[in-house]
Amino acid sequence: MSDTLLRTTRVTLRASDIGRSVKFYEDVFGFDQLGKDGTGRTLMGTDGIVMLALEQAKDPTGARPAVEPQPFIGMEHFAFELEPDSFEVLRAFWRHINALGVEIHHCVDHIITNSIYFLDPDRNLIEAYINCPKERARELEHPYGSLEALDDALAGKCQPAWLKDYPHAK
Amino acid sequence: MGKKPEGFKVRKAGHLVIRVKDPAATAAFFQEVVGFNRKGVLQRGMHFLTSDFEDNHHMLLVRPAKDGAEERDFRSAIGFAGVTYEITDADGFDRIIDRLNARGVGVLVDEDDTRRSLRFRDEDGLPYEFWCKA
Repeated sequence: MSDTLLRTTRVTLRASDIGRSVKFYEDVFGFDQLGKDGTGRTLMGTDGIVMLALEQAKDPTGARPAVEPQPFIGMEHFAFELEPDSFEVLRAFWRHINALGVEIHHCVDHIITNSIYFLDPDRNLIEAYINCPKERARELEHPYGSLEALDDALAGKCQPAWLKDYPHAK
Repeated sequence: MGKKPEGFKVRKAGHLVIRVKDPAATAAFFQEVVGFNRKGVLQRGMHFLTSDFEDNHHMLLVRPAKDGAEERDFRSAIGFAGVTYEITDADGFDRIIDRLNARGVGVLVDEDDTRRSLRFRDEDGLPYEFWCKA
């Protein structure tokens, strides 16, 4: 544990069309608009907890962020944690964003999480994940090491292999 | 307010992953200034940073930028404009300011009756805010 305790509060994204981005995050995550901060940013989140701030870009025609695998300096992605910790929850989210027509970048088993990466309207890469059972990570020297694809499991064609050892996380 | 999606809910903001020119230096900076520990340095030079692994397996992941990566003006560009972390222990806010000052990092401090915040940029110009309740 570090000497200073922290909690990830929020990411701030500058949008080319803030109205479009607000609607995207309302639709995708079910976020509410929670007012404005002192600089006019739109604050969004759930249960009154701010997790995202959006501001309008002065030049909406500017370059969009580069996305993996392109080279860039800056944010690769920002991640939001889903609940409860169940693979069915991630499947529900996968079905939800497919129905919305969201562009999915990749889906992967990280051992410590199972994750879906997708693009927002400005091509920011966003991750939604569920935590996997902590015992699974504790068994390994490097708990973040796997990059096994999850596409078939999310589509319901099979179950992720790890679930057979942790059926309570189904 | 629209109809809420069913079957899931967002519990919390989890982590930021960044690509930087010198990930070892950036990770060391955050370990020294913020006090992040370092959990599980993996292949390809990735640094997983958190203040408490049991609470959040990583809050900031630092990765190397690929060859040919260009700098970006995070004050105006579309996309990432900052990340915010709450300091949940009482002494942490002043400790971080002291460490930033000792390293000569420019810090903007805002305080009111309810909230204290500090903002700074890292070596690559990425903006960070840390705050605590007043």
